[in-house]
Amino acid sequence: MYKKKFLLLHAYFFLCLAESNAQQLPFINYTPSDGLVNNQVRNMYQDSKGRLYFMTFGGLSVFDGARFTNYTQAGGLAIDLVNDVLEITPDSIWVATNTTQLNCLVKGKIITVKTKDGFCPVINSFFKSRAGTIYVAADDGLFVWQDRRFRKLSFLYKGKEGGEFVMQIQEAGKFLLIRHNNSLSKNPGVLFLYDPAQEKIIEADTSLLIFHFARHVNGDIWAATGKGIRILREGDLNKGKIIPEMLPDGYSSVRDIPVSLIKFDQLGSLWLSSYEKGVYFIKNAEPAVLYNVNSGLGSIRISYIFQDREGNYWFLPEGKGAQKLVANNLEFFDRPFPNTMVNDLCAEKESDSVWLLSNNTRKLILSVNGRLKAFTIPADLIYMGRMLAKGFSLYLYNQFSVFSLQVSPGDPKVRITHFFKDTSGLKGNGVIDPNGNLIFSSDSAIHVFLTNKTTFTCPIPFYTDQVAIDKRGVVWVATRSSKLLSFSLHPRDPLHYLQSETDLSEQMPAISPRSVAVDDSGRIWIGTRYKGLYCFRYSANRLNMLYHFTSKEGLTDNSINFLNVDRDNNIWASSPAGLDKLEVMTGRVVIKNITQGNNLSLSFNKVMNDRSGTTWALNESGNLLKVYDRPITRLPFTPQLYIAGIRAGTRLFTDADSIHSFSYRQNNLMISVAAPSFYDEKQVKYSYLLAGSGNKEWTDPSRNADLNLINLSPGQYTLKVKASFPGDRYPEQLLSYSFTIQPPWWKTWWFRLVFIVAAITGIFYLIRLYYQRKLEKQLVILEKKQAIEKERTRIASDMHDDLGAGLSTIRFLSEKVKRNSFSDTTRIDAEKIVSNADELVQNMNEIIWAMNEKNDTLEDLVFYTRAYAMGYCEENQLLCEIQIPDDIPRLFLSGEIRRNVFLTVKESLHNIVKHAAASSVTIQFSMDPSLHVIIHDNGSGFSLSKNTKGGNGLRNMQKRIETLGGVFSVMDGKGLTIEIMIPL
Amino acid sequence: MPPIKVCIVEDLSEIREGMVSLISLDERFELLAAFPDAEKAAEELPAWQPDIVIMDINLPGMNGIDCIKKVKQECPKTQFIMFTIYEDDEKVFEALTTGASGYLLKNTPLSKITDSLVELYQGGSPMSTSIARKVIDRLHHQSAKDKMTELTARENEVLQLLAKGLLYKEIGVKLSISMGTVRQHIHNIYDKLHVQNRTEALNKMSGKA
Repeated sequence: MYKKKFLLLHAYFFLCLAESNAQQLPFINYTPSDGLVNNQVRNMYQDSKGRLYFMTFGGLSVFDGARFTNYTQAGGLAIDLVNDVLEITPDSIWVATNTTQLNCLVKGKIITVKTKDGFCPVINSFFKSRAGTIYVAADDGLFVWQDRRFRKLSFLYKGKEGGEFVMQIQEAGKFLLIRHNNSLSKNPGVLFLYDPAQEKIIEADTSLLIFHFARHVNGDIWAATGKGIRILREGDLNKGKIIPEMLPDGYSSVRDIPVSLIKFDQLGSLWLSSYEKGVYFIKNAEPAVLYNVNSGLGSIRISYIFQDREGNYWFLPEGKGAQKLVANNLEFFDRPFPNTMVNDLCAEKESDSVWLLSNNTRKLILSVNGRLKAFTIPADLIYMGRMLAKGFSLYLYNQFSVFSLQVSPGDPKVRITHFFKDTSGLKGNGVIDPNGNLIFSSDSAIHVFLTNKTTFTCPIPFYTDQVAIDKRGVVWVATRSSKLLSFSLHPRDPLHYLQSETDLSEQMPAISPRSVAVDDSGRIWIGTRYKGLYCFRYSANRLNMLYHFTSKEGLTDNSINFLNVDRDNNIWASSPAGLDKLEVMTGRVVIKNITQGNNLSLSFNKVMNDRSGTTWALNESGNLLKVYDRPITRLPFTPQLYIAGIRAGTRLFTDADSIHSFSYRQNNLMISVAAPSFYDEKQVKYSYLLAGSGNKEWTDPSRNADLNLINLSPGQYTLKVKASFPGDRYPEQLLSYSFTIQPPWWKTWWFRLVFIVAAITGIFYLIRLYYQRKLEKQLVILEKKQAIEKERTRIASDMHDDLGAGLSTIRFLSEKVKRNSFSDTTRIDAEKIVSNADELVQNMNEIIWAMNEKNDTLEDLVFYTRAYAMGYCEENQLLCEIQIPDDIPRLFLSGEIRRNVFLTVKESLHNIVKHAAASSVTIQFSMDPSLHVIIHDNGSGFSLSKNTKGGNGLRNMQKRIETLGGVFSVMDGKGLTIEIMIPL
Repeated sequence: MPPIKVCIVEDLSEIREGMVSLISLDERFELLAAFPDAEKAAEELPAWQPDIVIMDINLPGMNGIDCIKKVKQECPKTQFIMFTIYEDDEKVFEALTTGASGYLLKNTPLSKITDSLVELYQGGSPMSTSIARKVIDRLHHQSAKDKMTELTARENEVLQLLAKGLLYKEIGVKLSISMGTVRQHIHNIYDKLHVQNRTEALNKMSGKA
């Protein structure tokens, strides 16, 4: 019965609802304060990486979602007025400014394009045909890019060259449709059909004043004219005919509107810009939706409408920067009716009716599917308040009373009846339970007002803000003191209507609840004062925490003041900062920020959902936000994560591929990444892990797209970056970038190697130099020695020649004297002279032998000494035995050694002959390895007292041997033994 | 036995005169001429064709060795005896290789000079240890080329022992030969040294060396 009445009422109300007030759309504005180069944006473009190009009167802005990069004349552009851009190859984008010079943006750097012939027209727009041919609409006519130059296409019209100030080119079948500038051209408003193959005009239409045209997916051309839109069929165009047709019936609302811009979006919807009205949006020939300044558009004069690859719409209102429209599911009413502040809102997921209460206008407003009906609340209700509604059961409550409200379609006034008086305890929110009774949360109690007009109060431990009723009809409350209680309803026992079912207070963490909701799966959601949102499941007497979300996990705010569950079991959470939707999927929960991404920063205090899935949220200032349950325009697209630039010290590298190695001085890197997605680019979050730094943890996801890597020590690194997108709209994107910080040159292995080699070589050369020097010195000394030796030899030879000759003469003369003398004394004297001369000659002979370098071996010494000793001993009748080893090592001995050794032996023998009275002598040579000469005689031995002369001789001998570094020793006993030891 | 025809080349007049008187008084000799310098000697010696030339080494102008070189060819039968003060003089060895067949030390007592000359003339050549070593060096390292200069086994033995400082007497005892034989061997060795020296000179001239 109740249900039937409800349906009837509902059906009736449909007929009398008024159309809603103009809706505000959540446009997001981009102006120079956001980084845009100039407010006068003319045109937009998106490259294959997804970056957006804003062509302005004051330069070019490239937006990658994380940052605007601006290019102006100062940055290399020919001039600041940018006409068009076109991607030639990825990372190589032509930029046409309004001058005879073409720029190209290559990996972030502006260069000038050099054509083969050096010529470049003033390019107004590019057109790339489906076949890939690039046509250029230029002030100087129509051009085609061929063979690295701009070739002018012939444009003969009425016998004259007619191609100048070409503004727009579009493919029309096999031909091109050409539009000129209406004010500058000699042929204003003429539409040309041009055959690029024959390079001639096929057809020209002068009947239409064309402002713009667009190509429909089916190949037809829709032309914006001063008289409205005309359709040129592809079939006609292919035949070379321009036959304008009027718009079909579905488009009647825009048929006669003068249109300056026409555009089909990627879903085939039509966008029109009229300088008089604003922007019209027509989807599938549905009634046109008009966007104007009231809807939030910056101006009704729109330079360009653009849809990016994600499906977001961009509007370029003249002089107002750029405006983005993402959420076409959002409507923001300023007021349902002018000046109508909304104070309360009631919606239920079982009904299309949504009730709004406006206290300042004393209106109760019914909204059904976007249509509104207002009822006036009579003045006899003095105090307004808040409202509860279930179907057409309506209650208004304040701190004094609860009133029942009745509306009927024919009556613009609300009928009011008192339901309860004295309700001063009511402070929180209320609900109408499945039995139609009113349950209010309040301070330390739950108040129940039963339909039979009795009341029931159930004490609870502390203040409670929200009451939730689950599918089973169980009432849940969560007190501010973190108590969680549930109550069952007992309509048959009004005196015990609420009976406590469970008290989970002991299991509840201290989280300061402020809101509660129970979803269709029985999960208990509790919003807190500042700890975000908790989700619990109660089963088998256990309260288990399933989730805990905070702003870190993506909530707009940690303070949740109201929770509601929609028909699809999604959770809606309102907070002082905005509205969030939580979609519970298998194993995970996706948090969608409804308002934040759309530039709506509003404090909401209530959110409810109706049967159509529309969500209604009420903000503090009495404004309403409607969120339709329809998907946001979305095209198959996944943004790609890439490195936008690397700043190493003072150097900026715009091409990460080109640099993977940095010097040890460039060890502070700022790596700028981007993942162009404009759905909600401020919520794109990046986290990174720098492998090689010892850190194995990913950083917390952050909006910061400039990753600062500070004080990297030399080594190899791999930077891994993750980009996550708001609401999990796109899968996480990953990139990996490997780079090396080079050690300083003095720490590289090659330098160390080179250094070691150089050091070794250096040391080697130093040693060599040292020895060379030494050798040179020795050589000098040797040369000196040789010179001395030579001189000595010369002196000696002179001496011995002269001396020898003299001695010979003396000797001869003495002999003569000896012979001829008769005096004995004279003869004896002469004899002495002769023997002295002989001895001198003998000495000289020995000197000569020692000086002769040809006698410089040990053998020479030994044998010469032997020969002398033998001869001398024979002369003096001394028995001589000489022992010489068979093998005498081939050793060279200086004249000094030879002479001294020989003379020592000689003197020993002389001593023996003169003083020892020996009969035999043994001379023993040995080389082991020093030279030993042992002279042993069988004489009287050595006695100093007897032979002072001999002692002198011994000292002489000792001196001789010691100058050679040898040892001279004398042993007395059974004759004398003299031992000479010379180290060899 | 006909007297030995002797020429003397000696610049010091006292010695020359001493020698002249010594030799002319001895009937075993016939003094042909005495020269004060080598130039004159070189000029006249071929005319004299003496048996022995007592040649001083150090002479003003041309020395004795060059003089021998000059006249050796023209006086094939002449023995050149170097008249030297020092037996180990390098020049003595040079002279021996050039053509001298022995040497006479100036400090030989006058009474023994004439005897020594006879001995020398008869083939008794003196050889000191150092000269022997030089001869070994010279002959042994180059003699294989020429049969003429190859030493006999005995000559070799004698030379080796000499080089080791053994006296003639010792060598004689050791090899069971007389001292005269030892001297004869040494004389032969000197001859081979001359031949060798000549061969070498010829080889040098014909460019074979």
